[in-house]
Amino acid sequence: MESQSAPSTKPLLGYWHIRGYGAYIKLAFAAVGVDFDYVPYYESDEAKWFQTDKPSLSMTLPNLPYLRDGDLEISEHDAIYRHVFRKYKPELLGKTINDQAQVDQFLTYWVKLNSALRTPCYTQSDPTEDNRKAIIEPFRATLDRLDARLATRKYHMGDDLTAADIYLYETFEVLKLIHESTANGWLNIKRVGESIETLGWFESYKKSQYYAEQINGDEAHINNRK
Amino acid sequence: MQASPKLIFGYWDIRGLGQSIRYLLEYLNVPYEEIQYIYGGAPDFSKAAWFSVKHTLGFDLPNIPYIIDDGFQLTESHAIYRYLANKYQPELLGKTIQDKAAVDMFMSFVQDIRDGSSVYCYDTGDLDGLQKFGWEKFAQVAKFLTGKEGFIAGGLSIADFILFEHIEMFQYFLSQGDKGESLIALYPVLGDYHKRFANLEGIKEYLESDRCIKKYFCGKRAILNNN
Repeated sequence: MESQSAPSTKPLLGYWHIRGYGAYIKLAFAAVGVDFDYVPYYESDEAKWFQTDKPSLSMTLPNLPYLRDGDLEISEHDAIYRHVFRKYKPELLGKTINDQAQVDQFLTYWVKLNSALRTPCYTQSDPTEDNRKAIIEPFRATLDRLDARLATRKYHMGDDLTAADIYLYETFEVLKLIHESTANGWLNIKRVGESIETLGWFESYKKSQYYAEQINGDEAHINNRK
Repeated sequence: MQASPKLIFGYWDIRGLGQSIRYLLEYLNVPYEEIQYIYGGAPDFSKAAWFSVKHTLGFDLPNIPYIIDDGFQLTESHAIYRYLANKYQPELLGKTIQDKAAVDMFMSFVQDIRDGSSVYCYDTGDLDGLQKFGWEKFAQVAKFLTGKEGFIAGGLSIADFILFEHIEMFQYFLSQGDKGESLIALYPVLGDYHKRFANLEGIKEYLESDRCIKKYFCGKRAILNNN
């Protein structure tokens, strides 16, 4: 009789093998210390996603990134991000009802900022330095406020790291990608981003087989593509 | 005896992103006081009513909609829905961990409908484009609501409060112009869903009351709007 390996009980993440929106989820898994199975998709073989896997997934809104975790199958990177913390380390979403609301508020700001920064990375061909600065400028007021919050606190919620800080990390990397000296002007946001890099689990994240270096997809004009 | 402080809800005098919060407050039967900032009409569409007080209220991230619940200040509509549910009726977030994730996912999806409509409503005024976009999105919504009462098997969730408003919005926009058609007539599953939500205790009374704002789906400066 053919032996069968037991089906994996680990959560499974499917995404393009870039940082993009998937990086946030990978960071979340590293922060909660949970191992997961990884299905990378490559833009050089996008048929694997569009023609093979996407049509065969039974989930409601098939998209990348997607997560399978037990009975759960979902897409939408911010829903997946919250789920990972909620299931494996809920205190990183805030300990009290009011704290949870504040973490949610800050996280939502960063999610919206991230989303708004990505599109120009793809649509703006051959951007000059001034073009790059102009991408960030509409968000100056919001970033000033977030920076001010962090001026008197170690993290968004004080001494304790939360999901809002982890989301800040990757989004700040995108800001630096767009225009580094402008991004570095927000000293406290920069400080939080750099402090995340010193954490043990961050080291594991960077050394893992699911870590990708490239920030945006191949078609992006603003990228760190080698 | 001193009455307990009411929750304060601040927003423009429009439907916009505030309407679903109004539905939720009414459904939850939370005593609240609404502060409406008057969004100026044509030609200036002045936002001075809000901007003149924006930085005086002590918010970390001043914005509208906001709530102030017994001194606790919060902005960001999605954070507000989740906070209200968490505090007053946590089942609305989903009862199981799977349902909670599904609610988050659907909230994102419905937000994408709102975000995607912005360019048509505010920038281009392209009704054709808006309608094509709307039909595509609501075909998807109708598909996954088929055979279900709401987004999650567990019952009503905050995602339903948001979707209801978007059905109202697109029922209006999709019925405009030469190619106008009724969304809820073409998709009976959406019609049934809309009717069920509109008949919920708290919602029904609100919809029939003078308090319920009928205008505007978008900010007053929008080219496409229910003026």
